Amino acid sequence: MDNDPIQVQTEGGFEPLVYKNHVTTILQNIISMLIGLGFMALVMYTSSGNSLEMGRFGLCLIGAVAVMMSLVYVRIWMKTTYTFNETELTVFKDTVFKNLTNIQYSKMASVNVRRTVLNHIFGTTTLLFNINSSINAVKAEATLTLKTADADVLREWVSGRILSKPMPLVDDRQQETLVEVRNIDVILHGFFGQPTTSSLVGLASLGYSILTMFTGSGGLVMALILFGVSSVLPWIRTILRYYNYRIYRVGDTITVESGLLNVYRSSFNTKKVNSIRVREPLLARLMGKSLLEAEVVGLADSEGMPLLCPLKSKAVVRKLANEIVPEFIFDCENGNQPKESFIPTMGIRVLASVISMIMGLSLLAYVMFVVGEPANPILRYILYAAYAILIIVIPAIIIVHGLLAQKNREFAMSSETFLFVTGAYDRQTDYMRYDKVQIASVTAGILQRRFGVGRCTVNIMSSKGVMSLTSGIFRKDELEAVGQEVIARIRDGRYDYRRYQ
Amino acid sequence: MNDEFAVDENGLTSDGYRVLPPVSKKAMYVYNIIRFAIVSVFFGLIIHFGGQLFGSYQDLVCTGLMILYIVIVIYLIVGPVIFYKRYRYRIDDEKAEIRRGIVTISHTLVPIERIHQVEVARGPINRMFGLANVVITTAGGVSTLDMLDEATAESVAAKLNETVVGLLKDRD
Repeated sequence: MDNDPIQVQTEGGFEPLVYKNHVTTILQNIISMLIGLGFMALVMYTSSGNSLEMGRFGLCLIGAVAVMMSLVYVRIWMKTTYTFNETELTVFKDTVFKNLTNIQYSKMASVNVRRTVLNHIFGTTTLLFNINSSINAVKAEATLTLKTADADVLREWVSGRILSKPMPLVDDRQQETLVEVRNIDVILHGFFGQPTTSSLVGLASLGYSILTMFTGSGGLVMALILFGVSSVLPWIRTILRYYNYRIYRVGDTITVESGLLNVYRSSFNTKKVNSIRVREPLLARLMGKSLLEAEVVGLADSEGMPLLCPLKSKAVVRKLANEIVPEFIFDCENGNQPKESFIPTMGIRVLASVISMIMGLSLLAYVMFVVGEPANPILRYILYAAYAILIIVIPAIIIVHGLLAQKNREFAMSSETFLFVTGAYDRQTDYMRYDKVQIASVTAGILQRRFGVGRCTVNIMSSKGVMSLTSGIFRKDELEAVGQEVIARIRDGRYDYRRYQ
Repeated sequence: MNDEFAVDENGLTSDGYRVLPPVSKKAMYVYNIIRFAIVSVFFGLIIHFGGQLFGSYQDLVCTGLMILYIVIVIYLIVGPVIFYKRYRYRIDDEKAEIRRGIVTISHTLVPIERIHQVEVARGPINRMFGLANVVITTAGGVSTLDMLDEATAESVAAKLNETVVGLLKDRD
């Protein structure tokens, strides 16, 4: 290896593997930088009032930054090496600051593969090495770009050291997916897999843009931008991310592969899975569909929870969950909120509804008896809409939310995991390991204390750092049992930290 | 007040929880005076410029704001007394437990095995009253024992650190 700053040592006959990023990473970094600088140039040009002198000055400045950054990228490429020893990966950077990072294979949660459009063009693959830590959870601890053939060999080699049952890449590609996900499922997932609030914001902005188009009252562009950002972009991103979806499990290793333009392949051990979530957004629930996600620390996936199954029928998702993560799944019987929870659940909602109605009626009385109705018809219609929303719509939504919450919420404990079912319009079921709970709290408000009920919140590590999950309203002594079980498992040795290393 | 918060002559509840030092109430009031000043300026600005913001609806909005302001001020006055009476903590070899709250009461349990770091933090107001916070960090978030007297905070932190180090040594 040229310019290798590390003295490679042989450890008991083991020859460390030393790599550098493929030279095209310089080009990839430069292209990304140029896109950013181009955008800046556009902003500077438009804000300079098309002044020729200012434009030239801006271009010179941007050109100088581009040249300087390109030199930095070349130096980073030259002075960064990746050494794969028998027990750890060492990343050595000797750029502006010297930096030596050691990542033990035993701490690694996954080696992920990412192939972007530029990777496809250059015939390269980027490997992402992640450790099981909540700090820096969405960013890989090390990334290495190599020619695809070399990357495949290296991934297989590292996987052999971190996964319980690694397999040759050829076999990996031939594994049959445990669930058949057609691309139409992915498209439906893109549309109906979003939380209902996002869908409603999107629909409201679409409705408003249609209204403004017909009435010509202005605001069309803003409404369309809002619709695009809140709905269309997430749909497109989800579809691109999960196209050609495949999932399989070999031994304790789960592999998820997908992507249309950029191809992603993530492999992780089931012992690194902290929780499993079955999500049913309202529209999907009405169609009898749900989706399955896993919380795996160390996947370095900015998308959040890795998807184990896009939107499919509930029976299919249940079957897949039993096949892919049977350690988590158990049947919950009679786990619904008790009758003591009804008044605490509804009490705050009735209060909120009454406040909303009082606000609406106060506004109505104020307009009728103090200031009088405005002459402007648009303002008048806005006021009518405000009355209706405050007096009828919001109270109705809140009360129905409470009734659905009382019906949906569940809590149950099994020997290894426990579950919270939460949500009203959208419903989600979280299965969590006791051994992954970091902090457990039980809280009770004034009304809840009168009925001996409360809520349980557990903090666990998540793929985005830290996650808090809160139960519905159940008897306090039952909820306290979660924390007690966590402690009991540590005390009697059922929790063994080595199980999760 | 619930019986579970009643303390004996040693300052311990029937199930062995410890209470805050009485001086912590003074510290809470100093914090609340600062909060009161910030809230008053905020509401004052809204009410002062309300004419431009709310037009002919100014009276209605200002009445609503004044009701909200009174509720907040009452909360700031009675909050420290209730917080002090309800705050309890207990630490043993397995866990740290904290019970606290004014309107909503929480019971937080942190297994010692999950603790990564323990530190004693002293802000300027706490220092004025010889108080300190013990900040317990786990991989899944932070839990804080607020406003202990400095000596107690140091001893609690030392005990927790000792237990955590002992656990790590056992693993090695």
